[in-house]
Amino acid sequence: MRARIAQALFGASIALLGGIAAAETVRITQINNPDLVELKRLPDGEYLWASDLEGLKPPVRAQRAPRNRLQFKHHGKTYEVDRGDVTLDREQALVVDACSTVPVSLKSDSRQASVKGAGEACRK
Amino acid sequence: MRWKALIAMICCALLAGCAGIAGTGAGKEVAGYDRPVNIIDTQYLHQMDRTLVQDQALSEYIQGIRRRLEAAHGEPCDCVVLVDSFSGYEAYTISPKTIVVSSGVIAQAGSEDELAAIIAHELGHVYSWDTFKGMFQDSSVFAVKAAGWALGEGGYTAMLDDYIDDISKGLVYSRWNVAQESEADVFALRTLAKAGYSIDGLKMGVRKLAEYGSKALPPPQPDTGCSTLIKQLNDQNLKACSKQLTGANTSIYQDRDTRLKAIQLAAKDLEPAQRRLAQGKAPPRFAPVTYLFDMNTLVSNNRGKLSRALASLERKPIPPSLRGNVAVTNRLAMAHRILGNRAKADGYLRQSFDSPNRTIWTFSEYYRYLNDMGDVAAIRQAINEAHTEVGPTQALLPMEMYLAKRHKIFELNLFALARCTISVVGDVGTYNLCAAFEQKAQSGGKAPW
Repeated sequence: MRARIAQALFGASIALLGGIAAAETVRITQINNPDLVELKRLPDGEYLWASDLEGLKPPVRAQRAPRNRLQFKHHGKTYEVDRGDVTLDREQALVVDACSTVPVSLKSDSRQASVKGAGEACRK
Repeated sequence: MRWKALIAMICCALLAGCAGIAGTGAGKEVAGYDRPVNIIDTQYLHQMDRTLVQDQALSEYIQGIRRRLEAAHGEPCDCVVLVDSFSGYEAYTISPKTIVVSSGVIAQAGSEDELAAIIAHELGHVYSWDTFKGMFQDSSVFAVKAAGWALGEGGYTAMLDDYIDDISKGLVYSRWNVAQESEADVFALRTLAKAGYSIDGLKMGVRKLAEYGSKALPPPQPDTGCSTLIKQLNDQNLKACSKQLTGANTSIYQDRDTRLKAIQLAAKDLEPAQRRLAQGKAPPRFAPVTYLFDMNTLVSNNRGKLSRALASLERKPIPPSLRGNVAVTNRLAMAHRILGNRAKADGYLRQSFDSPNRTIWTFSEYYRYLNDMGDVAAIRQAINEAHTEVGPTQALLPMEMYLAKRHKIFELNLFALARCTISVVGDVGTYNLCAAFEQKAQSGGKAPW
């Protein structure tokens, strides 16, 4: 019985954590070329160009939605935008950068006993 | 000397060239690939010190994406998509037969759409025959390096490291012109749409490539005096300006925003349903990709951090498909060497020496080891194997000259002499390096590496 309760509690915590992750809030700092970015209005599914949305000026708070999309509210309505069309806070976190990537051949630096990243900019 | 050189040149000509042209020659069957993998192209990979990740499930998955894109384009490409051992976010095309995506792309792709976008962009170069418009100039890169580096203890090794770095950067970042890059982006966009992939994957791929590239190359800097120095050609000036001369520090990619805007503009011409398709799920996880990506933890700024990262990495079992892959054992060997753990370093190096598909760095270490051992049969075998696995590259030539001369291996000495002699045309640096190595061997001097 105890084991079942523990399992249920564990399951509930995972679900809760999953829910928190799904509802992660981010900040859109820029819509890249609003006249070329389509937004999907929810729940009616109507598409419109971001430049046609009156008064839309980032930064805008948004939540991650399934399939790499983001949802945000504007004038009481919800819109969905592709992740690739917007810039977020801490955009550099998109990829592990070259300075944190291990080079193909490690250079022997026994004096400092360190391994520098693969990027040219971080080798000096 | 003259008659020997003449015979050697004839031999070299008879031996059908000194280095292979990418995409030509035979292919080999590799598990997981539906087409033969071009042998010379894998040699280029090994010259960049990268290896092929030979994992059947991974290869089949990647070829599946390629087939879907080919079907959408309506014409087969007669190419394969290889996955290399590099953990950064890079993709490149060696020849019309070989596209390469790094393990780091697969590890960091947010969706299959993004992965397909990276492959589709490279397919654009393949279908437009861009590879023939910009041949891979590894020999000219080496010529500049050879001219600028003086010999001495450790000098050759440092030059080799620099050369490997430059040919990789040249192939990945400076091969095409802006027009070719833009055309490949538009090709990718249309092909992805036809194949039922989301074009948002392309936007994410372009953004990640730009972000990664921004630190892979140094930021653009004003002329540091190279334009003046190059006018007075001497060893010191060549060394100081070698990156500028080889173009290794220059990216031809447009800036991120220009590329993205061009993609968004082209997307307006697509059917609304194609333009609005959202990205799908993330690619499956593959054990070798995860392991190689975890090797990034070796990047560290001090002994303690490196030691902990290495211990943590060694606690993880090496995935079966990565066993015998020198990309793993070379790095583990060097990490131990840096930490002063000589026995462990030697153990991993021995594994590298006994592995198939060795890289240029592996062979340079192996040559050193064999020279100390003085095993003539093993040296002969190693040089022949290097020519199969890496190709007869100039970068190993001075070392081969030394070994063949010092250990009196007649036919290899003749072959090395021929290649060195041919290099005198347009590449005096390599010729001089050969001569210096030969002289050391003749006088019984220590190998200058």
